[in-house]
Amino acid sequence: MLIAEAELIEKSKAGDLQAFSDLVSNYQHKVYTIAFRFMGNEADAMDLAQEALLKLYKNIHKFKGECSFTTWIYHVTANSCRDELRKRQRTKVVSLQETFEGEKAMGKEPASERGIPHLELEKNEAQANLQKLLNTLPEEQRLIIVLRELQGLSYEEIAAIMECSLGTVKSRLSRARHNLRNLLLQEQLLFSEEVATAR
Amino acid sequence: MVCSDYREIFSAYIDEVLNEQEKQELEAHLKSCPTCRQELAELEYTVSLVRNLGEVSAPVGLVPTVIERLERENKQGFNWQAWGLGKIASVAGILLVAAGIGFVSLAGSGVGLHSYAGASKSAEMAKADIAMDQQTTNEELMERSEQSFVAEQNAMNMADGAAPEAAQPKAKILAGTVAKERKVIKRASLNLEVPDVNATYNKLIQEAEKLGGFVESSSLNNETLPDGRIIPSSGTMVLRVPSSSFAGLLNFSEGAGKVLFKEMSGQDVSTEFYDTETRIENYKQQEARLREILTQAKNVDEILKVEAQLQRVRSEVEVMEGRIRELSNLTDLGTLTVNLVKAQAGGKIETLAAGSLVERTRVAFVVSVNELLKDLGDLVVGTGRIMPQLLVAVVIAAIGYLGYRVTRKG
Repeated sequence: MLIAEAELIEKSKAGDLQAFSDLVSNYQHKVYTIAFRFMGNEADAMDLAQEALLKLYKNIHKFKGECSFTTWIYHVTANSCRDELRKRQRTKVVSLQETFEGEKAMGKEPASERGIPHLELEKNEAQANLQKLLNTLPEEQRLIIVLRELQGLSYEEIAAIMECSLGTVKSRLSRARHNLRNLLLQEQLLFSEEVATAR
Repeated sequence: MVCSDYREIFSAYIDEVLNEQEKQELEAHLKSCPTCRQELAELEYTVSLVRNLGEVSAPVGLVPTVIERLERENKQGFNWQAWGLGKIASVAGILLVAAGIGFVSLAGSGVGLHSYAGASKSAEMAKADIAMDQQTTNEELMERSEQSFVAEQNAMNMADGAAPEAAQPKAKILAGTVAKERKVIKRASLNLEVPDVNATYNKLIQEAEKLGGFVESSSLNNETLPDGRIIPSSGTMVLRVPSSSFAGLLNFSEGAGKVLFKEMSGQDVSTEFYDTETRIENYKQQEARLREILTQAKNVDEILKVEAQLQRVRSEVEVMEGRIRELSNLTDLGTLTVNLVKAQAGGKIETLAAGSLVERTRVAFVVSVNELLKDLGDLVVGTGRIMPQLLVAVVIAAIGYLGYRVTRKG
């Protein structure tokens, strides 16, 4: 932990909102990435990211430096993800179709209007498709994929954040990856030739 | 092991968390099993696809929105969680201890406390201030109220149809644009106990001047030390500094000595200030119109009437401009009054009650002897006083006695 960061943390504990703002500005993209990849769309991601940061502030007095601050932020964000999903499952069933439409309507304008190159468009579409597949995974698997593949956390770190054993992390991650692979095959997004040449 | 068993450890293999034995077994199997090789390749590709998704940039408004919400929540109620119950308990504990000390010192010492009238109260305040973050308190108190004022202005301006200004916590917007600067008369009073009055006196003046202020007035009382030196034992100073640096000067001064008493006030005169400005504007317009009428006046009578009106309007404007100047002076510069008092040797409050038993006995004896002597003296004086009357009485008695003797003989 940097000395400057430690100071910001202490000030935030004392209620200094400017210090807190500076502190979380460094982590906002990480938090938002988790939120976005987990919720699957911008609006929900924004809600979740805000909730996560509010939770961070309200619980910052509990942070005693026993783990790194980054790990702690992931912990709070992961909890917020789970809480959010549990809340939604209680109120209504989110239709996957809605998620797809929502994403199409939001920010993914046709190339002709934005003038982006062909490859960029393909990349965005591929990403959107992959996100859709991620959305179909069970929440715990989705979370673990996000933490491992996108944030590059170790098995031990993930175990600490998700409060489960190493064994659980291994098996959950394995199942998640296999599921994704199956989904990709189904969607024919995974061509044997591509794979063979890539190897 | 069969293929399905091997498939279960593909994921671990990709992450290189297999032990050496498992790894070798798997690699051996892969050499001879194309199906497994294919599936592993597909799995690796899946992982790389997901990893390439990369980080998503947070929208620009994310952190500001969160901070805004927290500020709103803070305003609605005291933020217990940010403080933490532990901190609150310790602050309360310190206040209780300080109150206890204050009571004990009040009871223990005798005379001589009149100059330290606010001792127990200020001890509480001093300790509570130490417990809290001093800088944050002073500035926050003023800034938070400034924020709400700007927000009020924005709300009022939005009703007027003007464009709203983003509420920046530290923004001071010049009058004449959409949101107006708040006019507050900042005043504070400090009583400090210091080891060296002269040094602190100079230190505070220096700091005030450094912050762009000046000394409005000051006075020092001197005392003569046993060795003949004359040094200041107490003093008062009135410092004026720009409002924006006021909290800074106050904090600095508090740190310059032991705070025995502290009082702060912020008098909001914005309404009066801006109202007066508006009225001046109106009067000036009136004045312009009257001058126009004057040019069209046909006779002396009319001219005199208009001049009388003009005079009235002008004197109103003068009065108001005077008031604006006065308010500007008071609000542009805050006023800090500092009373300095020299700490007694040893820093303790001395009392008239002497300490040891021997001393007290000695004092009592001396006092008693003095009283005895005084009584004896009074007796002598009393005797002297009745001497004339005594003399007269003796003479009368002698005459009476002689008369009696004569009567008896005859």
